[in-house]
Amino acid sequence: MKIYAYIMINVQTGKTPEVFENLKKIKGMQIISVTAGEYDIIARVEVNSLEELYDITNKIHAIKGISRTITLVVEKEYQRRDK
Amino acid sequence: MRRKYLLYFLSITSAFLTASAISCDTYLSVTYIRDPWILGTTLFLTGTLTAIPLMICFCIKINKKFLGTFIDPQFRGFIFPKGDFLKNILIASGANALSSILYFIIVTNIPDPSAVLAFSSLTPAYLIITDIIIEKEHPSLVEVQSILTIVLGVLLVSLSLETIDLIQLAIVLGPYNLSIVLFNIATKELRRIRSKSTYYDSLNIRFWLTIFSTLIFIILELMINPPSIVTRSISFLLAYFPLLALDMTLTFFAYATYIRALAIGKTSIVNALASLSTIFGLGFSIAFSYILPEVFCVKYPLLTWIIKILGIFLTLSGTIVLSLTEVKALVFIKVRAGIPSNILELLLKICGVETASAVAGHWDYILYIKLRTIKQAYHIITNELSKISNITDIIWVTILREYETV
Repeated sequence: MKIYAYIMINVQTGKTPEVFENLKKIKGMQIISVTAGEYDIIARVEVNSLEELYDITNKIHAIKGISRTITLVVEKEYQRRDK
Repeated sequence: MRRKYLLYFLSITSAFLTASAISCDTYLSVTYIRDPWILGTTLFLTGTLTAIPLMICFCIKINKKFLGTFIDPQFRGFIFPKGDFLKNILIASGANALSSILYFIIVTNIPDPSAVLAFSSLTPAYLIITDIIIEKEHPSLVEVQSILTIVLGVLLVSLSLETIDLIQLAIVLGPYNLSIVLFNIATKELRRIRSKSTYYDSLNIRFWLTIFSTLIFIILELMINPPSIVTRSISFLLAYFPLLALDMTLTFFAYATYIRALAIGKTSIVNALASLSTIFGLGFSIAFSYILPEVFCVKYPLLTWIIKILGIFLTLSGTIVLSLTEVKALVFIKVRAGIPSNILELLLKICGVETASAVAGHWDYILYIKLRTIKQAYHIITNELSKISNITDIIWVTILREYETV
């Protein structure tokens, strides 16, 4: 069963393009959004297990320029579009 | 694969196949079957006859995978329509039958595929107008400008025709495009309906659309014409079956790729890309006017060509601008005890909400939203979310740039 999670990322000033490009290289990234508001980047990830999610968050923490992350695991979801 | 590249691939493939199928229609109508009703019946019957073996092929399993999954990964074999799926199939088929009758009337009078294709470019403009009427909102300046550009472009393409007919123009601007809009809305809805936790695939949708459209078309036909028209259509079917089968196979795949694209992207973006069929159609018109000059009589004077090309560019630019005016956002919601148990369903019903997720952590719910204008955000926050009791905090995060994979 697939597990989905949102990872909200705050980035140091001026580092957004660099972080965005590095995030694209991580396997499992479904959507990466650069946003205006409380968070700088929000990533939606698709993994097979929580251990895989742990690996992805570790890879994200290793990217230079990231100051803070918050991970929210999806418990239930309704969609209008298909995947 | 990046989601947007898949969307481009599917829409452009559909545009190419559509232009090829319309060239076949033109050839058939000018050379063999001049009556629009007989042409329509023959093509619908052939469509059904070709769709059945195609579906059988799609259901063949190779390495435990259906052949159909190579065209649509959602394909899980043959499905019988029921419930909401059946209802929307009937609506889409009715709209398809009506637009087809009008299309055959147009195609039997205009021996230039690119001119016929230009008329369908009005669909995105009609979709936006429908949206504006339903939401009782004023259109933005960009939307008004784009709609006028598209209409002007289409008029320029049609004015270049030597046989301009006001009745035909009225058919195109009215019932033809309105039935296409209804078809688009019902088809988009079809891809949103789930069957056993999975979405219906484009191949099953196209197959059932073909079956029901044929039935509705023949019923409509028998209400207007004598029953002998069906027997005459069958004799044409037997005489020209190879070309008819090629035409309807191209149409099947053009629709299947279009339906799949509709499920991935915004209807106006898919239509914008699909309107490239006008350019493909122009290419076919020019090529065939040299190969088969007696069929494709599109040798216009230079000035007409310039007007025609200007019209196509205006239509394309207007459609592309219209499709790019989109706002995406994420909304984070925090709630306290006592929230309705069907909260996810309620959130998904809000206009523009594409995904509603219940999450564990700092926030309780996340909404992924797509809107036509930022003005709609105000409506969502003040009118829709405030209606739900026990929401304690909401933050709105506008998406500036997005990378998405399939």
